Amino acid sequence: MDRQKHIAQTVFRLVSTRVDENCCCFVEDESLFGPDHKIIYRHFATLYFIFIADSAESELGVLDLIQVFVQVLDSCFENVCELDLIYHFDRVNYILDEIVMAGMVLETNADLILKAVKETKKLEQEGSTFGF
Amino acid sequence: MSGGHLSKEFFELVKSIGESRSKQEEDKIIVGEIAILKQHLSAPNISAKKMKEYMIRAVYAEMLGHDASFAYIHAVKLTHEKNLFAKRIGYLTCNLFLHRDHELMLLLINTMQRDLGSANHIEVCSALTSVCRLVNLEMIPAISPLVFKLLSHPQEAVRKKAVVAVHKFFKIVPEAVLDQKDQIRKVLCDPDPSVMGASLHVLCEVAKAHPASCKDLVPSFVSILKQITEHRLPRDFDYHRMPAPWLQVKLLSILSILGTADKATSEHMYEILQECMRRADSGVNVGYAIIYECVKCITKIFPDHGLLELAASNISRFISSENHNLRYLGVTGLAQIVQVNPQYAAEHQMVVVDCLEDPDETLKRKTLDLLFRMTNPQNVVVVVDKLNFHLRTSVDAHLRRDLVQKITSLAERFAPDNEWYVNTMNTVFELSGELVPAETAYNLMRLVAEGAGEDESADQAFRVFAVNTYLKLLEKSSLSDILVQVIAWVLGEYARLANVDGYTIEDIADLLSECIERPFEDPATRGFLVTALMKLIGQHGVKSTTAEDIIRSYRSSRMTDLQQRCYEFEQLRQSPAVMRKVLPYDASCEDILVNKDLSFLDSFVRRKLDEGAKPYQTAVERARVQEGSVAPKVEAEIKPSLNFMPYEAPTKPQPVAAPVQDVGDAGIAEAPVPKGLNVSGPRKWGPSGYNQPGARPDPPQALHEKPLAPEPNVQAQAQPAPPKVAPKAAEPVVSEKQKMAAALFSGLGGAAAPATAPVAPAAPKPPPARAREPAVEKVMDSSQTAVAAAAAVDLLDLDDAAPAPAPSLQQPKADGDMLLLDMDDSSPGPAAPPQMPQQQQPPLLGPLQVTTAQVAATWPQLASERIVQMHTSLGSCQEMMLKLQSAVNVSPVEIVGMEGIAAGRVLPGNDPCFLHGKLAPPRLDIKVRCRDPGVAQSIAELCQRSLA
Repeated sequence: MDRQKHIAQTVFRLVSTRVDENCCCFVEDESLFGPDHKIIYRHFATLYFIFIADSAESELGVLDLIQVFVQVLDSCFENVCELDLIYHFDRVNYILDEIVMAGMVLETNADLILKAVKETKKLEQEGSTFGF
Repeated sequence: MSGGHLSKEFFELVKSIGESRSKQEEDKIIVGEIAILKQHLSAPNISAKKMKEYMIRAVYAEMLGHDASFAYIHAVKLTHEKNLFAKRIGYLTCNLFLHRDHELMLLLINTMQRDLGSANHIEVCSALTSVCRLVNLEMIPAISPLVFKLLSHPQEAVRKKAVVAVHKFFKIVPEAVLDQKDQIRKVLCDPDPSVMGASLHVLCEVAKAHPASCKDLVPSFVSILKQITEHRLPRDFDYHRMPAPWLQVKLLSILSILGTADKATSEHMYEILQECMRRADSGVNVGYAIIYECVKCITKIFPDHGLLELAASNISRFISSENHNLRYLGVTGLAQIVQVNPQYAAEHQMVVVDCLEDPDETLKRKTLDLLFRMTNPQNVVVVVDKLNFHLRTSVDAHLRRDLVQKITSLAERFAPDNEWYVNTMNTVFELSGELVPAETAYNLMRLVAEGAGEDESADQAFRVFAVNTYLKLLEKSSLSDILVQVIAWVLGEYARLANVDGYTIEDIADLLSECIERPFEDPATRGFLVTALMKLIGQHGVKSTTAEDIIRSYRSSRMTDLQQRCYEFEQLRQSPAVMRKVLPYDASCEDILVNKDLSFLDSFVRRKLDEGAKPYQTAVERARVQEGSVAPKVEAEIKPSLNFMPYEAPTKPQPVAAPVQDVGDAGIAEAPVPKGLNVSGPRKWGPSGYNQPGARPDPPQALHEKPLAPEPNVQAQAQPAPPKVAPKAAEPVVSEKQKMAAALFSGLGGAAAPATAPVAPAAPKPPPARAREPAVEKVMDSSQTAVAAAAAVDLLDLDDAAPAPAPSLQQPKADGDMLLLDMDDSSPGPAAPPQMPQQQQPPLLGPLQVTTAQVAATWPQLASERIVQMHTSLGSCQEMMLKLQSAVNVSPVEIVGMEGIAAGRVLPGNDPCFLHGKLAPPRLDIKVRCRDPGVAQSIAELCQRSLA
């Protein structure tokens, strides 16, 4: 729990102090994650999407993955905004589970991700009408 | 969507958190929220919808850093629900709340097992997601058969997730997965591209761990990559018109693992790499990701000239791009290319210099790393200057440690002359002495003591320089411990050489005594100072008034080492003649005759035995007889007043009592008989005994141990400084920056010519004007490098060894021999024809770049082992490694203390062959491991011949 807080604070401090115009989207911090890991982030208005990846991941690839993630969120919530993410972070998590699993990139096809999410949602609703 | 369907409570919570102005306020709200949640959750019969909301609120509390463990059990209970909606929430919250070693995992295993076998694929997927997140060692046997069965599930979504779960198993227990290898290979041929893509993760891990077992898959990978690039996949896998870019990236990284140091395998890839790069070049971000991955792959596999050119030209576009991300990739990529062939860096000098001044910290660090990798004897001064500047300004502990290590390594490898080396090291000691390893300081002291060994007068002049430098430094008020230690030692040994500002020996002694009062972090530092003072007084008979005060005040120090030194000092002062003998001038390199039999004590021992004394007991016996500090008593039995504790070993005090054999030279030992004086003077023996030269308790002793084996880099420094490729000759238009660029990049690419100087001093010297030519041209226009390179090639006719500045920058260059061998894996310069290893006989082995971990992993699989034991003249492990490189043609992997590991591949082919050498001069044990017993035997014989 303490480590989680510490990581969140440090990463935020690192990322938020960087100016978008003249910095790249990659930060390294050995004291936090050891060598070989980097923070890859993307800044959308008031939101930062931050991924931590090891050297096996392609940096630019992860950047585009964030893009895919945001696209899916966008079409799922119809113009996603900050509050959507707060209220429905269960769904945000489900979507993320479709994209990344056990730290590995699982699916990058936005259409397929959307399909999977919608399908489960439908089934869930059916299920809940049966149960209650 | 709005929050309309949410309960008012949750809405209010989010709103109030959003509006809270301080962390304290937020904490208060969450504490209240947790109390409410606890109350709600204890009520019976909560509806699924309500339960979901409570769970989510609990997660929310955890996200903000509060403990919500009271909700964990409810999350686990939810997974037991039949209702899918509730079950999914249950799994999700379990994923977020629990970790794999949590005690509640026990309650989850059964549910997981049931759900993995469920007919509803959504349930299976949820369970699989959870498995990936939470599986632990104990669970694998229970879970893995189910997951392997799912690999042939009719739903592709399930197969996909099952593959990732298998990947997770592999991370935890590789054996469990390797048994099912065929099944995994089958997944690679899955008709669904997503499932195939997921299987790449597992195969990538397997390839990393056991490259040999996957070599046969290379054609499949290549053909998959080919199909992807040719748009054979369904259109919806395109991203920004790029066909399945993530799959391409993953495939490329697998190829780079499998192609490492394997010519035959790499040759399969050349064509597809070229094609892949060409097609990816469409100007979109993800296309660059693919190109960058190609570049990484090209630098890792067996080098191909054309591809390297292609990689370099792509990187040059990245590095000069306006886009910061691309520049970052450019700098990182260039650092990798430079490792294969340093010449490619030359074109980009100006950009690299720009990056160094970039406001972006990440980019700056990467650039420093790049600079480190492209350092050579020509630009070392400028590069180290840059690194020092960053050391001075940076506060990040990791960066500083890294910088210190880089500077030290560069200074030891490439120093143009000894003065520069000393000054550089002093700067490092001053800026961050606490980060410098002690060995570095010892190397420096050894250099001062031994000199370069070629010209006595030059060595002497260098010593004078060192003494004067340190004398001046000592006047500064705050110095790091390690610097004070070096200063104390150098001044103690060579103070008489000082010739600045009318310093007399007395002044120096006073300075040292003043220095003792300063605050130090390392308790050993004061010991160094006391010893230095002792030497000065011993050698010069200096009348120091302060010495007595020092002895008096530190005699009662809590540091036993310091106490010891003070007592010795006090004793020695009473008989100056003995003192002079015990502390000779400039004798740190001389061997001291030691009478190991201690025959001079025989009569004494006999007499004592006759008088009824107990016979000598070995340390083991003694330990059995009495516990604790036995040392003084045992000595007392033999000679009550003799003090055997030497004054060294400040860093590694050893509790073992000094064995009696440790008494040294008969002459000295006899002298003190009347008063039982301290015999500890000569620095030859320590508590660990003379017979263990491996220990290095004190710098002077360290000097003794390898008198014949100065490190190769020390020798290298002695060679004449190469002609400076100073940009002075350039036109006045040249800006500051360009000058710096020229200085930084000198010696790379076109400027290869001057490099001949340090490598082969006998080579005819190129006319000075011509030597400077390439550098000047580069300063004016980097596009003219080709011309410069041509000029260099011209010059190269003079000396064959010059064109390849050793590609493996890790090793210091020692001789021309080695350089020739290295050329075989460096790629030739722009104008030079492809080169083959220039050897009459085909070598048995080729170099193989692997890590220690890889060696450790492969070692047991190699069936044939030969052990060679021999006597050798080699004195240091570095020397042994160089010898192995040049004679056996293997690459060094790691040196640990007096042991070294080297790796090669059996030619022709790619079978690994590992060498492990253990040096205990004059004895050397070498273990050879490879697959074929015949090869092992020949390598063993080769080692025997070349290392004896």
